[in-house]
Amino acid sequence: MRRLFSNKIFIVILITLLVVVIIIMSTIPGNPIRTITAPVSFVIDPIQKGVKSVGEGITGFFSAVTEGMDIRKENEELKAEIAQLEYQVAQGEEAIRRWEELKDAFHIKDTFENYRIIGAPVLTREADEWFSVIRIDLGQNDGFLLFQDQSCAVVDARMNLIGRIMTSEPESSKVLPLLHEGFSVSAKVNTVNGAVVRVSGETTLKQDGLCKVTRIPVTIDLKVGDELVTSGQGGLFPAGIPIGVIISVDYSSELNRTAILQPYANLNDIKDVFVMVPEENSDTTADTEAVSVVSPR
Amino acid sequence: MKKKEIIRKFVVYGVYIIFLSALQVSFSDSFSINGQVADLMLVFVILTGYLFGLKDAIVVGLITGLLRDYYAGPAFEGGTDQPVALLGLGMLLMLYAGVISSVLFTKAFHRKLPLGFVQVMIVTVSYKVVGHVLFVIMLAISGRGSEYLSLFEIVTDSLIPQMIVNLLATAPILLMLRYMGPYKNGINKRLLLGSGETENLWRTN
Repeated sequence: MRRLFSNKIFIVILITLLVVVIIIMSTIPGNPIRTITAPVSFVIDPIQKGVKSVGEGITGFFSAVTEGMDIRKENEELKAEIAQLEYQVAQGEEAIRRWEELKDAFHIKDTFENYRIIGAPVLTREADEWFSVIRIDLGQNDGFLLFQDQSCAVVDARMNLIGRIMTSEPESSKVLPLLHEGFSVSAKVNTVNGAVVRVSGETTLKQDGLCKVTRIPVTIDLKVGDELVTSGQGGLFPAGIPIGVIISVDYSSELNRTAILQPYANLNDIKDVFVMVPEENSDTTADTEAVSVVSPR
Repeated sequence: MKKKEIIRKFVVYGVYIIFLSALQVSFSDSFSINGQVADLMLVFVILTGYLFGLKDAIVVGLITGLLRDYYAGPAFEGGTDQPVALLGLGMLLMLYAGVISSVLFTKAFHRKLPLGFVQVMIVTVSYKVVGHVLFVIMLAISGRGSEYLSLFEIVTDSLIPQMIVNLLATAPILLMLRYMGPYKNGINKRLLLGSGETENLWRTN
């Protein structure tokens, strides 16, 4: 037996089997495997936040230096003062932009009055083309508790759909982005009694930042320029969240009528997202009972 | 192995794994070419296997894979509208990247530093090919259709940019492991025992 465990091939096969069991179990709802990542969250998230803030600090420092050098070329005597002022102006512009976005978000909140909107910065982005789920800085320790098989819509500051919450851990939560192959949502054309279709992520379109529209009724012709919003069917997303605009249609097959959608939200530029949590006393969906916010940020 | 050496190994591997994985997912847009992010985690695992052997590759591969799954683990739809976050796929891929790197061409390459670039290139291509195959299988299982990237798109939009960006990331990681790595002088002496190799085989010149 001891000899067997000193065999490298045997060890690799054994570990492989163990990992395969973990993979299979992780696909089963309610499995205990997911608790493995809870301690990881406690240790890794604070470190990752630290690395991110240090990195952003260094980037900011070099930006400031670069600006200062440019100004020095124009006016050597006023270099330091101009550099400082330029930096402050940039900071001020950023603050104004953020304030405008937040103002828009609060206005929209009135439209979705049965939902509480919680802001959270984006922590991590994709690791590669297949590991492309993102993490946000909103976790169970912030009072955001998400039970198995439940989810919440995630939107940007202009209330455009970004994705949905997949899991919540103690320090952060995973968001499945709109462009991800695993994402799909029931949508409708943003008109009175607009046709209901399906919007989903597609491998062949992901890199171009586009989504695929399927299940287009034979009786309806989507047109380029049509705006799609969430339909509210299925109960996960409230109706009326803007998704994007149709940029091309393909009716070559009557059985498989498709279209391409350009989402409004640009995931590459997003720094902060907003999670739409159903209010506990609303009668929107069954999600209401499952998702709760104890103490919002 | 002395206690001090063991502590050094754990600390150095721990710091590098956490730092590189955090760097990759925090600033992915800064380290990307044509949408392909510099895979610091993968390069680190490949070079660990290449330089320090199978045992290190297994441990580092599994831990790095766990972090990969934690940060950005893929979602599996499974035919329902509720996608689940897969746990373990990153561990499996990173494990095999390390294992392959620790056995493939190590005798021919003598673990020489410049040939680490070749090893990264070979394993990166293998990783991408396996990844695309696995992804097609997952799409088929989840019933999301048979549409996938063409061979030309895979080569030009996935393989080549990923190889370039990973090769760029190889240089600093290789130097980190060699000169500030888990072993003194960048050599795992256990690999030399019984192999007939000498330390000269590790030298770059």
